[in-house]
Amino acid sequence: MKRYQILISLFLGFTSLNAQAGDPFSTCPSKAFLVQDTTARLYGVNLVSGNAPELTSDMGTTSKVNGFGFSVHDQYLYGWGYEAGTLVRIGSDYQVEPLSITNSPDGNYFVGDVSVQENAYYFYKKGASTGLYRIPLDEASGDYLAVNQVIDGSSLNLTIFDLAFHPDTNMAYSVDKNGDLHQIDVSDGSSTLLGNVGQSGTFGAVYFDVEGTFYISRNSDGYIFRINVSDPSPTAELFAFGPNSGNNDGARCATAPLIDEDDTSIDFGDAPSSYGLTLADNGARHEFDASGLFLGSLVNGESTPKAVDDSDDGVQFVTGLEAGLDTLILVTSSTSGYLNAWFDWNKNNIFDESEQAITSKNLVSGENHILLEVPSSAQVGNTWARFRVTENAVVTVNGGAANGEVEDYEVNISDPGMSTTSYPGGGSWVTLAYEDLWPEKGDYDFNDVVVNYRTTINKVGSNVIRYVIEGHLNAVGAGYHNGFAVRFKNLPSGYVNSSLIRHEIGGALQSSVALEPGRSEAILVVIPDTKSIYTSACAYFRTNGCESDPTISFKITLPLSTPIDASAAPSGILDPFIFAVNGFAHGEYVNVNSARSWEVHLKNQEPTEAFDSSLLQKEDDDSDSVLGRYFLTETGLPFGMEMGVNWSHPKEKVDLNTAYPLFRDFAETSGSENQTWFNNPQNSIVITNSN
Amino acid sequence: MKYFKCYTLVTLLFVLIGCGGGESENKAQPVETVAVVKDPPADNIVETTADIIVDADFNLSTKFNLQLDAKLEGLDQRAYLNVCLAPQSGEKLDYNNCLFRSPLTASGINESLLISHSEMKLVAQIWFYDGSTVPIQYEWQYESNLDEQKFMIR
Repeated sequence: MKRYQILISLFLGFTSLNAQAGDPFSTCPSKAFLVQDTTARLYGVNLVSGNAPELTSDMGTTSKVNGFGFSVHDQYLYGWGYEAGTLVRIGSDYQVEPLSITNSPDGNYFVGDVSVQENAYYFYKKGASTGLYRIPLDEASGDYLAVNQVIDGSSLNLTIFDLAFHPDTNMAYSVDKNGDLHQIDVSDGSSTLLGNVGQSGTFGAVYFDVEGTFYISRNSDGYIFRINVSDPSPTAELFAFGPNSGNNDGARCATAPLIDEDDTSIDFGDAPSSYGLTLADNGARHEFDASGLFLGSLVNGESTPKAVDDSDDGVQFVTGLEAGLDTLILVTSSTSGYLNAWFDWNKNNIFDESEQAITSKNLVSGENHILLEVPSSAQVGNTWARFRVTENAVVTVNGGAANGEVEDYEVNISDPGMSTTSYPGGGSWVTLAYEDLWPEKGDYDFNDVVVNYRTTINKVGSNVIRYVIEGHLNAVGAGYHNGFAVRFKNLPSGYVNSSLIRHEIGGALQSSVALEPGRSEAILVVIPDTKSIYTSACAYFRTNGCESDPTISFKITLPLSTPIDASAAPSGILDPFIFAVNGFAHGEYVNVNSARSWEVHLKNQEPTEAFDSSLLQKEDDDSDSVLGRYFLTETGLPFGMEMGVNWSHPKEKVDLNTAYPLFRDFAETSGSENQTWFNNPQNSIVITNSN
Repeated sequence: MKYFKCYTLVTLLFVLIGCGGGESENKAQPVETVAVVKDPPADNIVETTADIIVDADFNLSTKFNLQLDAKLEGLDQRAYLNVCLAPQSGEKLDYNNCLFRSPLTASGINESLLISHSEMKLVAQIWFYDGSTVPIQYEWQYESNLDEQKFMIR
């Protein structure tokens, strides 16, 4: 509970130690208030999650408070106090203060709110002897606290249990027990039926946010729905699971956003938006407790969803997801809870109701082994899965939850029997670093183009069916424009299913065709121009300052339309290289208009069919095609190198051997010594890469 | 030039190492080649990278092949093989950081894997779909005294 108390203080902008009795609230809070029970208790409600920690069980009254509303004019709560039978005011001490109103009607009232547009409280009860009433709250007004009937309760005859004012108009809204949405013009008491929202019940607490979105909370189950009141066919969309109660009334500062920009108490998913991601999408989200229930070893939050959620660590796919067969997953839970999960088996970019793969599965603290059947109708390829852990058994694929965590995973559905080979590993990188002055020697800082890199190959039986290339552009220390490409040696380009190539740079899907046209071998242009792809305040990219500039991710999926036997298929690191970009100068030997014919490969990798072989052996190049030697100097130095880890590259003009003193012995002994020289940099003169 | 050219004639014999499939780092047809290798002189003064002398046929990569040979005698149920990076002490195996994942059948698996450097350690796990919660586990690390690295799983 201590955590809740801290949160409550934060979201109400209220420091209990310093508050004086009867003081107004210090802010217009994003969280809502809820009063429940026959002896009033006050709760703070996070509509984003439905979480509702108790603020106080003692409001200084022995009876109910109802018809609850927050005034944006003086930042007090107002309501109808049943004990005193009058309007009450509640300040930051949460204590009921009865107000002396005049012309008060008989009885008690449970429907009411404070207008946003005018400083007045409205309350309502249906029936000929009652109706809709207005009480001015402006202490400077001559009619302060003088009750005035707007309309009698037989003319305005609605079975409603709360009302809330729109932030931008003087219209009040409510949903009756049948699910009919009513708009009430409080200036004359007229009402308009806007439509049925599709949910019925006693909606005892209703709220608005600053966007004009309407929220209704059902007493019986605590479900919170949201409604776009401007929609010609308004519909109640399940938004969060809140607390249930026989007696319920809500209030909220209608001019506050639903979530504060600095609020990090909510964990969102990270699947594409079509699956439900943001608050606007009503995406899956949880008000987490880092000492409570979550998946894996880590949970954290954000006010808007991250591109990649670094706390998604609770689900491990122990076996491949093979269509028509069982798969084994390992789910780690911090404590006991319930797991629900959905897979987009049909790859229509949404989680259909029928795609719930795990329903209310009991989790124990620690590891849980779950066998899951992959439908035979599941579409082969990449898709998304969503896992939600909660204290309650029931949760929907989207919407808020008061506890637990959501973890989204991109998964690959395969045909039965598929194997996956990754180099250097499914979560590891090697680094490729190039010097771009070839055929002249460079300055050997090996940072003209630096990428980390891995390859993945899928086989069914002995046939390769798919390649995946991924990595990050870590540095560009070049003045020239260089592209980065991968050649698939001996793989005919006609074997590639070019229409299904998926090419992403920086997480954005590329519309250009990655498969280089007109080549007999498959060549993928991964980054068309490394020099043009980054933005930086520095002259170069992450070599001479601006080290915190984010690296740029890339990923290409290359499915084959004609599988190729593994014995003939390219494998391992493949053949990554840089090339000069057409239209840009690249030294005296390169024609600007046919610059693509300049390439630099790793040492002793043969250039592609696009290469201009007349460049070989010019200047410092000592290539010898007869001996299978390419891109080396007379002393055997390379122009491109592979390092076996995610390497920290030298800063601009820092010599490789100065940055890595163990390199010399490694190089001169042909790798007999200092085999992991790349793990021992002079830290002050290299740029650390940790992606 | 700050070095003395020193040429040594070396006869190199490239031997095809048997592999299950895919292009291998050591994959080549048996071929006899006469190569010129420049040995760095003992008194070669190295101040910068440009002063370093490298064997023309050494590509400066640290990767090598690992022959994976997995077969369970009498295997009569579905099984799945993961070959992954060994976790750090106290941590759990990360199935997102595997070099090889495949269904394992009675006929076994013979696969050539590429390892990026010699300090990598691997763990292989074989899982069954019968509700068991503990896999069969094997470990591998580089053995410098072997010409061919092999990961035998039986």
